[in-house]
Amino acid sequence: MISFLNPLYLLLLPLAALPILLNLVRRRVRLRIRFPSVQLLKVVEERRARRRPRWQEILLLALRVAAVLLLVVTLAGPRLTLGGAAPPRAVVAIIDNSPSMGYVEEGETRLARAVEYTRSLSGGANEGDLGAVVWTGAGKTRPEWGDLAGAAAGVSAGPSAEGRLADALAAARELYEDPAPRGRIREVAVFTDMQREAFAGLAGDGENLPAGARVTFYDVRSAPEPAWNAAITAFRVLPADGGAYEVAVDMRQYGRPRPLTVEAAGSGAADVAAGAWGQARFVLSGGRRYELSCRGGYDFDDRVTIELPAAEVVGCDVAAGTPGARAWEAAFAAVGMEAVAPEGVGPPGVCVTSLSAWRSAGRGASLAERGCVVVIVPGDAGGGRVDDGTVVGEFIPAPGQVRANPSSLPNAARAGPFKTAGYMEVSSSARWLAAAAAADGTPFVLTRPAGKGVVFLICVPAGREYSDLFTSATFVGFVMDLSLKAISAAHPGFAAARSFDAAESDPATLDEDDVRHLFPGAAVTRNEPTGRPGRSIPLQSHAAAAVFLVLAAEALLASYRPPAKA
Amino acid sequence: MTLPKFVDVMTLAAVQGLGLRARLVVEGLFAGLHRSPFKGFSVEFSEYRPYQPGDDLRLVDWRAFARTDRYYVKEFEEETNLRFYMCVDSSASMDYPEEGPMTKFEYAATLAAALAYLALNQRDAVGLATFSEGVREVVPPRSSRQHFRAILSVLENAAPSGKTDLYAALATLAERAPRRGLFAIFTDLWDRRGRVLEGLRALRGEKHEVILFHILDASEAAFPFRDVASFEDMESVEKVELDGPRFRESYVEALAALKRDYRMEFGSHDIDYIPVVTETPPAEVLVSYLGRRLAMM
Repeated sequence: MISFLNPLYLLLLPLAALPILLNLVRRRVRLRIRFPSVQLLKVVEERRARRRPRWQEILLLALRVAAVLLLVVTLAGPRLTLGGAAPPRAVVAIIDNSPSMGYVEEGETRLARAVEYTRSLSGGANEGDLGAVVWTGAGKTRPEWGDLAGAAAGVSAGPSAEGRLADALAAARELYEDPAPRGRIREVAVFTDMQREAFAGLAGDGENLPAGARVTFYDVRSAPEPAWNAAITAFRVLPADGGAYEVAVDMRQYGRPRPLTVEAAGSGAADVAAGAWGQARFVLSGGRRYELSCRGGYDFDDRVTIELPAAEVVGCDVAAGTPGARAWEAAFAAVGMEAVAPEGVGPPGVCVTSLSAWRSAGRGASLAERGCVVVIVPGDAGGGRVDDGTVVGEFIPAPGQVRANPSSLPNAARAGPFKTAGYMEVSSSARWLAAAAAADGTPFVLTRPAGKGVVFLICVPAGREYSDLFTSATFVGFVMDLSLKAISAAHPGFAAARSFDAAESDPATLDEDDVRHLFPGAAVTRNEPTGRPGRSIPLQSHAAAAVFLVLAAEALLASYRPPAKA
Repeated sequence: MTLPKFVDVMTLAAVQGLGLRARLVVEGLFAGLHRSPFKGFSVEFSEYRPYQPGDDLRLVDWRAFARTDRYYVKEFEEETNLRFYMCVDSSASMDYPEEGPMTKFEYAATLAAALAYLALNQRDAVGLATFSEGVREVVPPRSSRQHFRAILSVLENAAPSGKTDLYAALATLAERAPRRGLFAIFTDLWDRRGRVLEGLRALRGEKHEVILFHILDASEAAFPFRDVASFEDMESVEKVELDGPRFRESYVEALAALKRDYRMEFGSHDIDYIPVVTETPPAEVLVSYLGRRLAMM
């Protein structure tokens, strides 16, 4: 079905008759002239008629009429709504009236735009459609069902107030418990600027949604924040010959993967094959700082600085708050894990750090004290691998085992830093507990409380000589799963995690992926609602293009002169 | 040579009387031409007639008196080496434009009269014929100066009407002209092309020399009509509706092609073709043509 954003312009449709009228007026005989010889005039006229046949004149006129019609239609803003006639609906419009909606963009507040969008719901309302408007900051006020057209058209912007989408969705659920909307298609339209705070407290997986409702999020911002679409998730530095290091950079891509290039400024670049996960390796000399960056046609701004020591193995270094951490966050979706933290989406309270950084710089310790989860990944030591999704440990240390039985190390590991006494500080006195184990019972992840938080020690060293487990998507998913379990409501660190400074670590707004993850099946759009269910396709640009095409065809046809016959 | 300043068409049109108009044209003509393009004349015995009181006694043939005992006077006929036939198209189409300083017929008559005046001044015999569907009026060629009045009288009293049939008219005139002569035809040539050529061939077949003045009004040549108009034929009931501005280019092209064809066709029959637009002063037309003719002699 075709609908129009500005149907008033359709009043100009009679202008399409203008070319016909002009043609008629122009052809009206105004003079009678007695002329010496009409004979020659007739001959010439016939020749002219042969050159431009009547059908060509008619086609020209038709093109001119079409051009005017299309111009008017373009002004009216046509939209094609697929889906046809629908049964009666019960629409709940949720308007986010949080303070951020007062932000002025392009001369109007986001709230004004949300109200405007809500009103446009009335455009496609049929008789029998029910509507209710819920404000996120309305407190305990219970909205009532009414006629959709009237309810939507009667909306006006009110004062802003703190509120949460979770409460508004709860109000919507209550509304649908009424007998009134029964038998009707349930639709929830959320008009929001996608601020993370408004989404706080949502459980995800659509739990908060009214049952059977089709949810559409209308992003009323004039332009979205630039989306990350690729990130350096981690890098590892391995010693190479001649005092150099081989740097392995792990990449995570969002959306449709493409080939990427990772650059170490001034020292060459390496290509990363298209894929959700990728890795680039290049050799860099020690004792210098390098900025790793990534390019590949993206709107990409992920930069990581590494400082290569003269001769020290540096483990992985992915800290919360970096784009890399955001890639870890996206990994939740990849492995199908719950990705909702108590205070927003993603793992705001997770810090992944290397064992060496944990030990030497105390990285993550302060976060743990504040209630975060710190995941410590060992460096180039030990052994272990993942075989078809199952962890198989060649050697996984258990509390107290390291010192007790170093001979159980594989030959390769024996020559490495594992032989150093106390390296992993795994001892029963540290109250480490086995949080996960391999299939044969070998401890895989050890855990212990740290301050208000919790620390996980991954007992699988990552390194070229031992395992690529650390860089695999399976491992990332596993760590994320573990982290989320740690910050679940039952964990003592839960309350403390709420105080984590999200502004430092996460974008203030959600993107479409975030919302879809929170509400599977929900649609996210930046377009104004058309008022009818179904897919809406804006046709304005198509109509404008058609105007140009028709005018070009008219010009061509008007200038075309068939070759005169001899 | 500086070009003479001719009396322009507007001024000429304001002059009452074709005779005066013709003289004005010719005065301009003499300013431009320094010798006649036509040859002189001779006097030849024609016949005897009885003496009448008042006749010049020097003309009495005394030998005839000796033989017959009666007085006879010798009559001589002026003989020129040129008989000039002015053929003026007086069909309805020549009565165009209906509003304007001078119709095509008036212009043609002025040209014809001026040429006749010039020829008679040289003692050439000048005749006149007006025609449309056929020959309408004929004045036989004479060389006396008084003959000019007869020519003017016919031209002044002619009212353009009827269709054009050049073949019918010219074939008739070719038959009637007993001796070889020079035919000056003044027409707008709005006839079927085949008929035009047949008529001219008929004249050329009798060894007559032919000069054709193709006379068109300025609006016929340039087609300056604005808006859409219904064009009605002056010689028939035909009409056609045209958008003047859009039609102009095609018309002008077609007219130019028609003139080009006529020029080629006439050239192949040794016919002088002189396209004339009535904006041009008649004297200028004559000077231009006669100058060319002098150069060829």
